[in-house]
Parts: sequence; C-alpha cells; structure tokens
Amino acid sequence: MRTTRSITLGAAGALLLSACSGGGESVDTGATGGGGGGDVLVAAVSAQPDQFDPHVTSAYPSFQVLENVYDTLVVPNAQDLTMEPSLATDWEVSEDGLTWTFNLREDVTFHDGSEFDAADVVYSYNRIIDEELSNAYRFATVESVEAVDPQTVEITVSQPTPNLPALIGAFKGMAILPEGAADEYDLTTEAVGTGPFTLESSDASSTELAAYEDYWGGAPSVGGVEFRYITEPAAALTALQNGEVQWTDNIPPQQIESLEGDDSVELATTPSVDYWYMSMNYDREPFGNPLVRQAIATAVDRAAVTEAARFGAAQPNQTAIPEDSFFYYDYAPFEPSAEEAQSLIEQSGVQTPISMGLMVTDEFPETVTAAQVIASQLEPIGVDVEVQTVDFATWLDRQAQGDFDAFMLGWLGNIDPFDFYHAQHITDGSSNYQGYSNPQVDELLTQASTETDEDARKELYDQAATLIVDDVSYLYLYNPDVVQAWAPGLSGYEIRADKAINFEGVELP
Amino acid sequence: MFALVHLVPGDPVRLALGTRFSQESYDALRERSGLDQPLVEQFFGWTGRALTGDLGVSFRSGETVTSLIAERLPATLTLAFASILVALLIAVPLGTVSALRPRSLVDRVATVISQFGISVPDFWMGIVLILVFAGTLGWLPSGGYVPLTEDPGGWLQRLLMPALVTGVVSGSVITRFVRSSVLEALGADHVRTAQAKGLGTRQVFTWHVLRNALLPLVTVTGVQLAYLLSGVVVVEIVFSWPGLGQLALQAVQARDYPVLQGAILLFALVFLVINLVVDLLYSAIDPRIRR
Repeated sequence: MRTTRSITLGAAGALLLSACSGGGESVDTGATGGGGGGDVLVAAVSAQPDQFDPHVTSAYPSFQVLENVYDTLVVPNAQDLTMEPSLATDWEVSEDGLTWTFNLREDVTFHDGSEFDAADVVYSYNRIIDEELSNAYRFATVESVEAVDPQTVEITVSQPTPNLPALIGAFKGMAILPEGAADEYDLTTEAVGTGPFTLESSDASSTELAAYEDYWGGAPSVGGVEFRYITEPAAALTALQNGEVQWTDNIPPQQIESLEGDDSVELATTPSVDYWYMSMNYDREPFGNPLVRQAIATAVDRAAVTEAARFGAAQPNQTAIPEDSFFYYDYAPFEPSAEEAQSLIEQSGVQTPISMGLMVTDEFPETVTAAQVIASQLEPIGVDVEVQTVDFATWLDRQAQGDFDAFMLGWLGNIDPFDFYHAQHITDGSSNYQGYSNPQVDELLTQASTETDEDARKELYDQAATLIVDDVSYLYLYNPDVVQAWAPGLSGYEIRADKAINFEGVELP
Repeated sequence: MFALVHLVPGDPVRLALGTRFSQESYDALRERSGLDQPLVEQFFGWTGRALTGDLGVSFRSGETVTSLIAERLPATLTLAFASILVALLIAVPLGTVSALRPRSLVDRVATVISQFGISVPDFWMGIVLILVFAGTLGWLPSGGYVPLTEDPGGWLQRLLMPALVTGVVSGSVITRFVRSSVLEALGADHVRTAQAKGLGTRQVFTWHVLRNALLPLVTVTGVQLAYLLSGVVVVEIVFSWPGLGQLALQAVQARDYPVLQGAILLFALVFLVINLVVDLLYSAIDPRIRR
C-alpha cells in the first residue's frame, strides 16, 4: 500500500556510515540556504507529499518530510524495533493493564515558540478520535486521554493493550500538535511540530526545511533539508552521482548490484518490515479448498519470484515478519516442487485446468512482474493464471467487494505482530478480504492481543502464524530490502527497516 | 465530463485513507469531502462555483484547485512554447528542403530523421539525454525547474533537454506536414503562373509557395501546441518538470475529482482558445478567407 504507515523496526543490520571518505567532489547543488548555520542537504525523493497534516495524510512521501518535523510520545528504536522515549521520557502500565501513565519531557517548545505540555497530547489524540481521522482505528481500545498535570498524561484502555506504545509511536501520523493548532494554522500546508526541522516552504518541485535551533534534542548540524521530487530513478541516481543531491531512496533496482562496488555513491540496504503476499478468495471455488491453496503455495518458487520482481533485493519469507525483528518466526513448510503440488491437486479431487484471475496493480509494478512469474510457475500444475492488471483505485474497490479469485499486494510499515496478523486473519477482520476463518486462529489472536508478557505474546503469535501459513490464508512471498544511497563522506545517517528517514544527525561531506 | 469523471471506478475516500481505517473514519471523510451528497447536487454545486472561478478544493492536498493549477501553469507554458519553437526550427527547414528536392538524398535523410522522432519513445530519449548530458558530460542538471525570474541561467539549463525531447517529437510530426504542403503548393497552378510571369525563384517561393503552405502548418502547430499545453506526462516525469500533466495524472490516480475536473476544464479552454487563434491566423495569412 502506498499508504505506508511508516513505522519502525530495528534494523539489526542497520548500517552506520563511515564519516571519512575523502573523494566527495561536489558540484553546485543549486540549493538555497536554509535557516541554520550549515549547508542544506538535498535529498531526492520519488514523489511530492500530498499534504502536511500528519493526522490526515496516509501517503509515504508526506511522512518522509513529517518524520523530520514532528515528534511522537515514543519512537521506534533504529536498532531493535522497540519503543524508546521521545516526547515522553518514561511510561508505566497499571497492574490490570488498563491505565497507562506517560511522563512528559520538559523544556520542549513547538516551532511557534509555545511550550509543550500534557494539554497538547490530549488535544492531538482527541482530534484524531473525535474527528474520526484516518488513524482513529489505532485508538480502538482507548477510553480516555487525560492530563493529570502538565507533565503527565494518562491513557485509559478498555482492555489490556500491550501494543499501545507501538500504536501511538510507530510513525508520525500520531504526531503531537500544539493545542488548538487546527484552528490556528492551515495544517495542510503549514506545520508546527517539536521536531528537528521546521517546514519552510513547499511547491511542485521541492519541499524545504530549516534547522530548528531550539530543538530539544539539540539543533541539527545541517542548516536545512531540501526534498526534491525526482520520480525517474535513473535521473535520481544521475543527480546523486553528479552532486546535485546528496541522498536518495530512488535507486533503479536493476542497478543495485553494480552500485555495490561503485565509489561514486555510498549504497546501503537492509530488509524492510514490508511484506508482499498473494491471497486467494475462500468464497470462490476451488480456492476454498485447502489442498488447492497448499498446492499453489508449494508450486510457487519464492526465490525466483524475488529475483524477477526485485532483482534479488529482497528476502524470501514464508511468514510475514522479517528476520531482524524480535517477533520473527522461522517457519517455512513449503519446499517448491511441481510434483508435490501436482499430487496435492490430485488429492483435492478438483478438475484441472483451474482458472485463476490474479489481480495486481500497476501502482506497484513489482506485483505485476511477480504475478507473471507465479503464472508461469502454476501452469505446469494445471492452474491457468490470467494476470489482471488494474489501477490502484479499481484494485481497492474490487478487493472491498470481494470481486477477485486471487490478488497480490503488500503491507508496509508494520511494527507490531498485532499489525502483521490480527485484522488480516481473524474471522471477519477488517482486512480479511480473503474470507479466512479458523476458530483456533481467532482464539490465539484474541489472546495475543491482550497478553502483556512479551515472550508469551510472541509464542501465541508464532502458533497463530503456523496455522495461517499452513492454511494459506496469505501466501507470503518476501520482505523487500530498503535501498538508499548517499554521497560518499556524508555521515550520521542511519538506514532504517521501517523506512523512516531522519536527517537530524546528518553531516554533509 | 462531470459524469465521466465520477463514473470511473475507484473510491477517492478509500484511496485517501490507505489500507487500514475504521468505517467511522470512512464515513467522516466522505461527509467532509461532500461525496455523500447526491451526484446531481454535487454537479450543480460544482458548476455554480466554477462559474464564479471557484474550482473547489483538492481531496488529496486540501489546497484549492486554482492554486494547484496556477502553481504548475508557468512550467507548462514554458515547456510548451519552448517545444513548439524547437519543433518549428526543425520542421520548417527540414520539411521545405525535402519538398524542394523530393526523393533526393536530403529528402530521404529528412524522412529518416522524422520517422526516428515519431517512433522513438520519449522517455527513452529523455533518459539517454540525462545519462549523457547530466551524467557523463555533467553539462546540465538532471532535471527540475526554476522560474525564469529567479535564475535565468538555471531556467534555460533545465529547459533544454525536456524542450528538445518534446520538440523533436512534435517537430517530426510537423515536418511531414510541411513537406507535403510545400510539395502541393509547388505544383499549384498559380505557382506556375508566377514563374511564367518571370518572378524570381526566391519571390515565387516566399510569396506563392510558402504563404500557401503556411495554412496547414498553422493548423498542425495549433494542434501540437494544444497537446503540449495539456501536459506531457512522460517527459514531465523523466525530467522532474512540475507541469500540468503530472497534476492531472496524480488526480486520476487519487480519483481527486475536483482537481481532475479543474484540469479538464482548463484543457478544454486551451483547445478553444487555440482554435480561435488558428482561425484568426488563417484570415491574416489568406486573404480569401477574409470577407
């Protein structure tokens, strides 16, 4: 989904860049000076933000910018995915798991100069809840948000919600605004955060940020950041190589391998928290038959799909959660084999050829490529796949109406196993478009959603995942790599598995 | 047009909310966007406001449609007129020369060039130019746009490659028209008469051939200009050129009805105005049309 909720995950293999590397000959970048003392970092991103209201937008290009402008109470740690302090310095849960108390940081100011306190948190969360904004679902179990005193916020929940920190901290969609901000400012074009940079201007070519000198974490070392929109990957890479920009996440996938040995750019990759999958409609025969689904899961060779769709820049995975996460579950029951798949089809008693419309969207071209590979892999076992490429709006409509045999898509930016598994696989779950229903899975997922012990929670999700994978509710394919590149000598930037882009500590060559 | 925009499948509310949301959020946004109103009511509301110059607010960005269009108009105008200039600089000499020497080597070379321009995909030409001039040679920036008033040098540098690509494509189309209309004019009776009168070659060419050949040229140039003014999506994307084409494309993808309607309205106006200008030029060029 393009609507990434940028969340976290720690990249265990997160790369820290080495600061020294003499050869950064840089050309005139054309960047105009920012607010602070230092030079402006120019970053090439692939698309223009749709708007800047963090509580309203769901677009990744907006969050690339907002990550640097706003703060949340807690924030995902870059290394291990766990939540660490940000605007809240610490927090605790009551014995019964129903009351969460967050102690707030002192001496934090918003970009308009006003002091940050508990009233701002109450205002921000109630804005999302009362106006039913796009992230309101994250407060599903929240009964009230109250300021105990200016430095303390209390959140009451209707049932234990162990993933509350992830719900309120996973990405800047849960940003804290100053009280009354929506009335005072036009938040679609203006931003008043507490983050390291202020939003200066934005037009059809670029968005400019300036360093916020009074940032509570210390002023950034660059004077500002210019996000320049370069949609064509070849142009973005050229701009990086000739010094027009110093950072980009828009790398032509087919060039990743050759760039690894190239001195002109510093390339970094890490497996992301995103995952891509295929799902079949339980209400359309013969896909309601578990043997048919298992046959298809056995016939698919994930390594070949990954190679074709991502030029190998991805990690094949038969479950959802990537290897680096605390919640990773090493489970891969399907060994690709056409013979095995063939015999499963025979056992099912279903007549071949089986015809299957596989719905994909050109919004995510890799799904189109992957679908073509899957079609060729399923042909030998008597499944005739018709790849149906539609635009994303149509795709979403058809998914919602259940008008599909099978589809492919990804989930982006998840951090907690609840986000990975719950709504997708629980009976009648809001994202369970395939119509999967297994009472055992329901039981495990429900139990896991309120289990406060982290290890016991993981165990429950592992058991649920075993059934989900065996039943082929989702046919999991791979976790794509995050791929970013920057000018040699640029330092203080950390690539993250959640694709959050934070330039707070960046120093230019 | 309104009905067509709304009939396209796809739900802007679902697109705006992303993949995970509650039914309550969905209903709330639908109401805020006015999409819960009956379509007829939406239509009359929109038409009424459009007549007063209010094209509404984008679902996607929350900005007014007029400001979104105004922001991109200078870039589109710049690229369209620069491209037409390039196109005419290519087409008029090339088309004329090949018409004067039909089936000669020059004619054949011109045909090959214009065939090349028509058939080579513009995105490919664009990427090759970027790799050569911005990458290998490092003479030009890889793309982007700066206003002329801010930085004339940078404006020109960034304009060269996109104008060349769209200019070559349009120029190739126009070349064929120039060639055939000059050829036709050369064979016309009045040209023979003029030659018989003993007028010099240059005079015959300028006053009798070129002037007559100008009519189809004006028509086809008008069509090409209208096409360029409605945005050249592919070239805009390759060169990060913030034009109307990208705005319209994003509006289609997001089912951003207000922006899409505003853009279509603008494109319709552009066609009308250009047709009018072409008609006026006709009568200026050809006295027979003046009454």
